[in-house]
Amino acid sequence: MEEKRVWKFFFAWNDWKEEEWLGRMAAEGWHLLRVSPFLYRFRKGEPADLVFRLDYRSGFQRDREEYLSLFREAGWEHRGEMGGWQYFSTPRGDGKRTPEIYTDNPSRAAKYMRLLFLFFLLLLLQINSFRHFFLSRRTFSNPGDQALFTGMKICVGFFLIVMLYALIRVGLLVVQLRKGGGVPFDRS
Amino acid sequence: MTTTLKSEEERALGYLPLTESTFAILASLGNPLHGYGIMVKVAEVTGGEIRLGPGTLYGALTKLLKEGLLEKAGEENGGERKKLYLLTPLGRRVVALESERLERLSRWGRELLSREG
Repeated sequence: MEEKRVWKFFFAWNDWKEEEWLGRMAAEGWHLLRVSPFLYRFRKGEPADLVFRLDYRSGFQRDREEYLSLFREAGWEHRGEMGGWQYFSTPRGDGKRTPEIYTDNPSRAAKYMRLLFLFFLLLLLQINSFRHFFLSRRTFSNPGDQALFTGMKICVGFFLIVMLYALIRVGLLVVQLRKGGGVPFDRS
Repeated sequence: MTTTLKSEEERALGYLPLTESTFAILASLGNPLHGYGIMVKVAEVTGGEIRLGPGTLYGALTKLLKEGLLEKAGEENGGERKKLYLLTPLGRRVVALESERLERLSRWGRELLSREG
């Protein structure tokens, strides 16, 4: 059986694009085998008309079985998990209504709120290194130390900018969903 | 005694208005049901008008359990153990208050339409 690996990553506020991409892969006969960080593995088979949906949930231990059985009974197959992202797929069906794991905007907003909380935590954890690299005046006698410090400063700065951008993008999505429309993806 | 009763009523009022999904979940739990049973019941009663995705339902069940509007009513024995959910007295009160609120609104709407007719 032919298999292939695809290196790929997606942004939390564009997870619906990832869902569509996985659907297109299945339509071409590439069936998702495994999800790992930044890496998908596919196996070639018959084309299938599947709907993929990504949920974001982490930190449940005892309740995980209940969660998965709910999806399973509703016809969704759990295809993998990566850093709290739960991958599900289901046959598209008669095409009258696209199957959805979230059927109203408040619950859809709650999913992105969980991500927002995660980003906020990650940002909070970086506060000390931010203070260390940006708010303290330091001088180095050794040019090697100076270069290392500047290098670290760039890394921390880059991380902060990315996290802040993610907070804004996901936050805007939550606001749009709570207002009840204007989301980039059409789900009703 | 009266103060606790009053705060219970205030607590129930605090959940209003409910989303359509939340109302449907609560209203279908007069008798114990497991998660998938709720989806089926809601689709049946509303003739498919309200549908509950598993993500929406799981989130709502977790929240409603935590808030004390629902409780676990043991487990159903099948191939796998499935949690059963049941409305609590507080949950029942919330459904009653929300139904009254919706009735007042729909009466208002019908009055308007009958005057015009």
